[in-house]
Amino acid sequence: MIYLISGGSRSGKSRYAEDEALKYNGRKLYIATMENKSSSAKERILKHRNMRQGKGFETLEKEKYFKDINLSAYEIVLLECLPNLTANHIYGSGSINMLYDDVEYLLKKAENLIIVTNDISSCALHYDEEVYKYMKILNQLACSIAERADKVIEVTAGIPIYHKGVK
Amino acid sequence: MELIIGGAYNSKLDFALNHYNLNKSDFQNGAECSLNDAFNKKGIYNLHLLIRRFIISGIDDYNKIIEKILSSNIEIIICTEVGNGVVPLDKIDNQMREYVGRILSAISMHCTKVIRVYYGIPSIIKGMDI
Repeated sequence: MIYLISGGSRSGKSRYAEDEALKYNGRKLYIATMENKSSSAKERILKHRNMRQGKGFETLEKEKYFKDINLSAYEIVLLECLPNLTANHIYGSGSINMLYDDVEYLLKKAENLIIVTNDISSCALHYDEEVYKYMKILNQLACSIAERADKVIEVTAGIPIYHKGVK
Repeated sequence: MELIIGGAYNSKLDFALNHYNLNKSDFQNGAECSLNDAFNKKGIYNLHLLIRRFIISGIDDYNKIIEKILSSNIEIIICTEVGNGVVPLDKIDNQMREYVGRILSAISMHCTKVIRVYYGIPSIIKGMDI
């Protein structure tokens, strides 16, 4: 089962993703892609860690390059989140191809997979070209995941809206 | 008239080309078409960018744009939703945001169908099923 879960900032999408993952009984891997250097990132990471506390996730902090992760032991893999992974590839060392490789690896190797992304595309600010480039790469990737996903879920105010699949 | 909305880069145009079995040449691109010919093809995409260009060209009333659309024979309008972020500081961005919201609300009343596309997946939010 492949899930794509999206929503605005603080929409409750991460919690919903975790709750969906908890429906699986086997080992659960949480791949955290956020860079952990800045203090605001540290704060967010701590918050998400606390939220996951006691839920039985094994957390792997990895910004990119997933090919060497052995996923065979896990019943469910949760990737948090696609915008970070995308930024880690296109702003750090890496490339769009490697970004797609990372996602492809998860899609192929994970028994069940939840990918969390963020809906950043409905704002009127006229950004730099660079931002549109990022938005385009991120959403094209999300569209390609949506095409292959069994469930595509938008979360708003904590409420899931199923665009594909059923609850 | 049918309206297709959704966030930026959500495959709205690709969806429309497939859904209506049309080519890109059947559509004007609001980002670059002539302002006078904007609504003379079967469809238009990037309506939000056209609206931005209309504002820059001096149009100061969104009703004038609504009139242009409703008096044309356009059948399919594709527009990015832009109303969900913070209020833009830039005057043009802010005006575009308002115009897009008002214009979409006005023309959706005249549409037989309104489709919201989410990562390539359509939801009919007005009208009968696909």
